[in-house]
Amino acid sequence: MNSGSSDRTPGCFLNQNWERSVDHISQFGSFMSPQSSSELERGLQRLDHLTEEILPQSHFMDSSGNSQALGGLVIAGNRALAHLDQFPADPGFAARAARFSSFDGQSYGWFSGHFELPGSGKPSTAAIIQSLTASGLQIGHLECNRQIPVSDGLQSKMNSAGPAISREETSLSDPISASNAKKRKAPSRSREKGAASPKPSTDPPKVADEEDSDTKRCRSSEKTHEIGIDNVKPKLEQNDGARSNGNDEQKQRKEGNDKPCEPPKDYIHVRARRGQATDSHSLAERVRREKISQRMKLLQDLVPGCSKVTGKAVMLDEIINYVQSLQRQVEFLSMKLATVNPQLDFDNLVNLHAKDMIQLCGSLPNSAAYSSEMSMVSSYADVPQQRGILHCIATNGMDFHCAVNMLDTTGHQDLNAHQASLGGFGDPSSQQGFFWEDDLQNIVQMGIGQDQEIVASSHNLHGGTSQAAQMKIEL
Amino acid sequence: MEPKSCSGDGNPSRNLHPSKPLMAANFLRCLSRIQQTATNSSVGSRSRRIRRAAYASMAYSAGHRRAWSWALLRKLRCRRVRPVILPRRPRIARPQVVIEIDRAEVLRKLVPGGTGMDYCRLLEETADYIRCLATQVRLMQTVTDSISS
Repeated sequence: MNSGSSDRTPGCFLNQNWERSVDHISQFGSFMSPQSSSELERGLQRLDHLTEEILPQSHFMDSSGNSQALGGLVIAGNRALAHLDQFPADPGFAARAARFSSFDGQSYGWFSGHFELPGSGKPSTAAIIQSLTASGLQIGHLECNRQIPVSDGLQSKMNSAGPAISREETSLSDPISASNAKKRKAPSRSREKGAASPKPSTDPPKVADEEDSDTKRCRSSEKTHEIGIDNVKPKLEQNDGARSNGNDEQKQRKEGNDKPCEPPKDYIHVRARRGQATDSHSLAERVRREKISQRMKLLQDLVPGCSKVTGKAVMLDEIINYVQSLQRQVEFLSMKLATVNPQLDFDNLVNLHAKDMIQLCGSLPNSAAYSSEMSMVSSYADVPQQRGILHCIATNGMDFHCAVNMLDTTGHQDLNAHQASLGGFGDPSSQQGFFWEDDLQNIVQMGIGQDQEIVASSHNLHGGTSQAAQMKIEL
Repeated sequence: MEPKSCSGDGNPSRNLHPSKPLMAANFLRCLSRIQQTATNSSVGSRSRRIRRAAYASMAYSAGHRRAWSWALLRKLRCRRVRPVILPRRPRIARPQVVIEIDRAEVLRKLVPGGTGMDYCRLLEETADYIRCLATQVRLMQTVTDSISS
């Protein structure tokens, strides 16, 4: 997705769905008041539908859009689930809730790990609500604080547990959400790593405070993804008194959860640097920024005269100018070639040009693709005028043995692909296409496991000169 | 004729596309074809054909791994199916109200196949495209030089 506009377009798109989903969930909430288990089932089914609807989007969009979706669900879900404590134990509830948790393993992994049966009443509600708010969203925090009629202690616990829970979740969520977007997971993994590394050195409450203030700081630094930052800070500061209680719990829970889960190995490993935000958003963005700067350096090397230029905008301007100038040069040269006297002898031209080409590509690496292409070129020797080129190309020191091997193994796919494209390749003259296909047939015939044929043809190509001895062809 | 060596450009192997000999062979073949088959047509149409041949050989030698070469080949293939060149629609000149130039958009229009990519990938494709273009230009330059000398 485009960097500049992607923040807006997925957001708008997601907002529409969010409103729709909120409407659904509010209906679901009103549904819940009759308090019958069948209605609970139906309501949860609708939630499932919503998660299925939003889940692909959350894959598709970046994590900012995802957090908004979570926020929407959290708001409405909290309203609905406040009634849950009055429900009798439902055997399907655990299953459905677990499925609901798979919506975003990052947030709800903890939920699935700590879910207690609804028979225990209020603590389960608290667990649910805690997990729902633990996606680390301000929206979730705000709405939860305002709407759920819970005790103050519970509320403070939720608020303080929120930022830290979002970190613990990652350890549990890994096995659950292995199929989720990898990029989203990697930053949270590294967050765990980054959080775990200062742990042994400092006291647990301090570390927790550090992490909390870290999240606060990173939230304040994130301008694009966060809403209602001003509201969050006072809320968090209100509960400072209750924080120490929450911290101990967090520590125990975290250490308990760290051991059973092994982080999967197929993620992009990002280490959070010292003094930098450990939020998943910022980490993903940092990875992206590094990639982009790497590519810009590459481009800087390619475009002449860009070594002193600093700044993305000027650099991009230079790149654009260079591409335009190259394209104009191609046009100009093609015009020049067209006006050239058509009676020129192209054989001689080819030979002359071959010598130039050798000098130009003197030190090319001997890559596999190169080899297969060279072997393809060698097949063009059917036409006598090309023999000059091939002679010169061969003196480049190509390992023809290597080329032959490549032709056998990889040449097939390349050839097939090329053949498919050559149907409409090049000049509009039909002769051209036909000519290509002829050559390809020759190549394919050569390439289908006939080493001796290739050797023979190569001998023909080079007229049994000393070049053949240099070719190192093995039968 | 003075042999062209690009050692003056810095590191030649880095700036050259690795499939240069293939590109050269393709292009020369196309050129010879054009010379043989289209002696009567006008300079303009011949130059257009040569240009298309240049792009085609470039895209063909770059292979299918690259998005830009793939897009180029597809575009050329469509052209080939309908060899009639469609008349260009006259562009209605709109007043330039652009305040800020979106350089990424401009780059996307320049690089073939660039419209469906994210910024990161676009930069990568641009780098490869520039390499290929530069190689092609150098190739054509040597050809014209060798012809004119």
